[in-house]
Amino acid sequence: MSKDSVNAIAQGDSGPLLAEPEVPREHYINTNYSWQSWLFTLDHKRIAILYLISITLMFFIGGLGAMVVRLNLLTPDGAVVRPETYNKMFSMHGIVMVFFFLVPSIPAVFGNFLVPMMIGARDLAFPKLNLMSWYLYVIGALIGTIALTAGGVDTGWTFYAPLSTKYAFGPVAWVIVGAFLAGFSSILTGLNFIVTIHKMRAPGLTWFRLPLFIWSHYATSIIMILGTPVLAITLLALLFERVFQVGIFDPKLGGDPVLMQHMFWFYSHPAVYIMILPSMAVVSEIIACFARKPMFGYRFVAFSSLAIAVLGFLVWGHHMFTTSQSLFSSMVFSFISFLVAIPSAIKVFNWTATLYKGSIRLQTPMLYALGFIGLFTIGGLTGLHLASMAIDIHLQDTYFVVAHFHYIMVGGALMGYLGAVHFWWPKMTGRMYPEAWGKVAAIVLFIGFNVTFFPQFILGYEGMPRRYAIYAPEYQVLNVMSTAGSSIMGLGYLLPFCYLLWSLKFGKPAGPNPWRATGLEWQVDSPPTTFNFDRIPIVTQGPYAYSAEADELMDAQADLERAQVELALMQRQIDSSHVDEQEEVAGGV
Amino acid sequence: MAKHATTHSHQASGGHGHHEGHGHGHDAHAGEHHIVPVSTYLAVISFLMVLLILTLVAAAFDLGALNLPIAMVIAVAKAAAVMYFFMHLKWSSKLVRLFATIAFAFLAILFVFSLNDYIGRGWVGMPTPWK
Amino acid sequence: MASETHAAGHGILHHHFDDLGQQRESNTLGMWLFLATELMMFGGLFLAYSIYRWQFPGAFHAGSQHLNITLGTINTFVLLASSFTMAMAVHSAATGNKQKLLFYLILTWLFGAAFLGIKAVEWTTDWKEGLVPGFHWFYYQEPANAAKVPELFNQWATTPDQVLLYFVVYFSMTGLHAIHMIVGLGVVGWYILLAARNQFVGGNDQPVEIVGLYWHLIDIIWIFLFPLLYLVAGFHPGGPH
Repeated sequence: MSKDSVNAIAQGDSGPLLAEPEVPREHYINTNYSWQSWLFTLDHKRIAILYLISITLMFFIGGLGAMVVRLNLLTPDGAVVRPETYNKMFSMHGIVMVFFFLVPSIPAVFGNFLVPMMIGARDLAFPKLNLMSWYLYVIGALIGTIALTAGGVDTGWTFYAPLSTKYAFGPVAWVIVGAFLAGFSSILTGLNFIVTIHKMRAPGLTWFRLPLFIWSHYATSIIMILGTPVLAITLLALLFERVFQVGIFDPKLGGDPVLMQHMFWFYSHPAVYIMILPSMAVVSEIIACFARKPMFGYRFVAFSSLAIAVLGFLVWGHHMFTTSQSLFSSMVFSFISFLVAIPSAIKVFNWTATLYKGSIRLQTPMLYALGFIGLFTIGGLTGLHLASMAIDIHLQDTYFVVAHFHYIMVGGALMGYLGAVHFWWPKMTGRMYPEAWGKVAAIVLFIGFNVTFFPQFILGYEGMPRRYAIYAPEYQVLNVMSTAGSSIMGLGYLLPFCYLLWSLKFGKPAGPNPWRATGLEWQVDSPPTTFNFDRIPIVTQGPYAYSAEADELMDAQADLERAQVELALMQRQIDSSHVDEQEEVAGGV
Repeated sequence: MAKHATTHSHQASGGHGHHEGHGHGHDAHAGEHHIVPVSTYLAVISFLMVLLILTLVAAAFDLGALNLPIAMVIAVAKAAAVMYFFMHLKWSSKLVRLFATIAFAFLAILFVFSLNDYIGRGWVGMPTPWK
Repeated sequence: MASETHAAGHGILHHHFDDLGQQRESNTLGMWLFLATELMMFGGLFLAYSIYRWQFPGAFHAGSQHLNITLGTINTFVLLASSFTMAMAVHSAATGNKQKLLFYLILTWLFGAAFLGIKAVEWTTDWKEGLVPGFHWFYYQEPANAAKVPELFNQWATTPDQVLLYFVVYFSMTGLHAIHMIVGLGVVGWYILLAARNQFVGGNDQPVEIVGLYWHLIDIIWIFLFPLLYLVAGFHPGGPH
């Protein structure tokens, strides 16, 4: 009777050791396996899984683009692909990763899955809109990706006019349509979250008892609602101009290309906060759980999410310092860009303070969360470099910018996403992933990421421009290093893909709460039933009720249950040996 | 096993089962279902028509730089009447009113900060090179 | 309340809501959020308008004089009236009066169709005159209008290319608005059918209220479009040009 298996039973796993065969419990996955029940589902959890599958596909497609880019940059003359192809590859990488992976990622998968559960609701406010969201996303992503791979565009993900409207080759219009549809998917998701969080909280769940995950997703939804429509109209205008050659941004007709940039960045800067806030949400949950401490400065962290959302709308001109924006306006944007770093820093300080004197467990989700804090800090600080106009003059459109946003998007957002995948995997699937492999993958990714992107800060500082298929020979060493790092990073992505799939069939069954986390989602079985809660909970205390005393109590309870299981097994052995004796005696007569 | 945020719970209402409709103390007509008298609507539409005439009257006089602001004030008055009465904001919760007006705040940001660029060109000279 | 949710209720109260009040408020909030996104979307075009008008005031003065203020005024009247009839339709649904509901919904629909009809007349005129950028833009190239070009320059300090920008803004804004009107007509038309089939009785008036909110927003956008596009150069009784 191994200690592990006894532990497993004590945690509620239906292992093979307790011999009563169990009728499989019905939950949201096995309740109906037909494809119709999946494609026409209204269950927010199923929609989350649909999103999970689609965005994983998108991630690997975008990754292919990155692979071609990095291969081509191994040599200064860029001999792997032609320059036109190179341009199409970095454009594809950016468009797919931003619009079809990062923007939906955490909100569409984990927001959809967890927001209702965390607030004690049975579903989101508008389940049909939620399904429509997914269909809009899929159709947009399909159209965009097909156009990007069969043909391709060389505009970069920023679609600047008049390149995109007049001079670019390829199916620009189709790609724009794809991004447009994905944008509406985003709007509907945000709409759903805001109404749900306002109106469908369980009794007793006041705003300041909400998990920080909810606060961050609320802030993200504000940005989705108010920012994305401006992107929509910008894309429509670009589409109009491209298809009908009617000048809105055409300088030949007095139109203003900088107007397009204003309209584009009004969304696209807040968009980067759409991509990072949910990751911060995840980090808050993981840090509290794996430091076994309530979040330090909960209200500061909550309000900082809102502050980031609002301030994020006031800084877009820092993308336009070098494109003839007025100096006065640039000064204003620069100043506010410094201000917007403050709420992010507040979060980092509070996470760190939470870790201080915590009882830290370094399991895989925690490794990702810690990686996030370090890498996001570097990314954020380098953003301040770029917010300073004098420095930005030199660094704009160099690899410094590329490194900056990859530290935030990959070192930050993606790490948060992977942390979320590992943290909530048992809840979503009912299975544990193999912990050792999880740690290996996290470390491999961390190392690979830094080897890939740190050299790019140096390259940019030394003047290597971005979006160029060729470069001056003195940059080669660092470029080779960066490409080498990207192959390590690729391994860091492949590993979770493999072992997570493996765990679906062979992973250890997970109980309701393998992490001993607080939060309403951990109070129900893994995987949850279709309507989440048999009884709607009534909330009487705040989130993150972690403490050393609570942990000791749980340890003691676990010991007690282990002892009870051992006792029951011993009793069964005694009983069965009695039966054997009796049969012997009977047989012997 | 884990210490959690709930202590006890009450039977879920609605849901996939049929319930006995035990009262929740929620009045389904609470607040949001105020029925507006027709006379109010008639007054509002009259007001709007007056404003339409006023729009044309104002446009008949050229007041130079004031033309646009005056036209906008009248338009805002019309829009406010439609939102407050026809769209029931007068009888809606504070939350609904917040949602109804938040976009205007962010549109203001869009306009002010973009126009800041165009209007501000030439306000600050380029720095002179260091000697 | 219990009997209402129970008897009429399984059609009205959706399973994930606790009660009708929560559902009502959620639907209202949801629609207002959607309207906020519409405002932001049109806002982008209003931004383009602002910046181009600030840069090329003469073009906007000259361009707006091509528009038919009479028709624009009639359209404004029509939309305001349609807002009134829509509000009355919502009122009828709330008081459970099916006949009045149908009457006012149909009136609203007719006003909306009239609006689009008048817009079609305006656009056809613009097309014939060669004032549609990208498709049919030749007004200032016509020999008959040769004198207009120096007039543009002298009186308004602008050029035909800048006037073209004005018309791009004009058609984008009124075009996007018209698309929203068409969608509105589609939904209202469908609701007329539903209302005829007793769909909005028994307390199920909220869908009408929600559609009403959308309709009023379309009206509000036009309330701003009219002075901004038509009345730039003022109102001179005696017709356009």
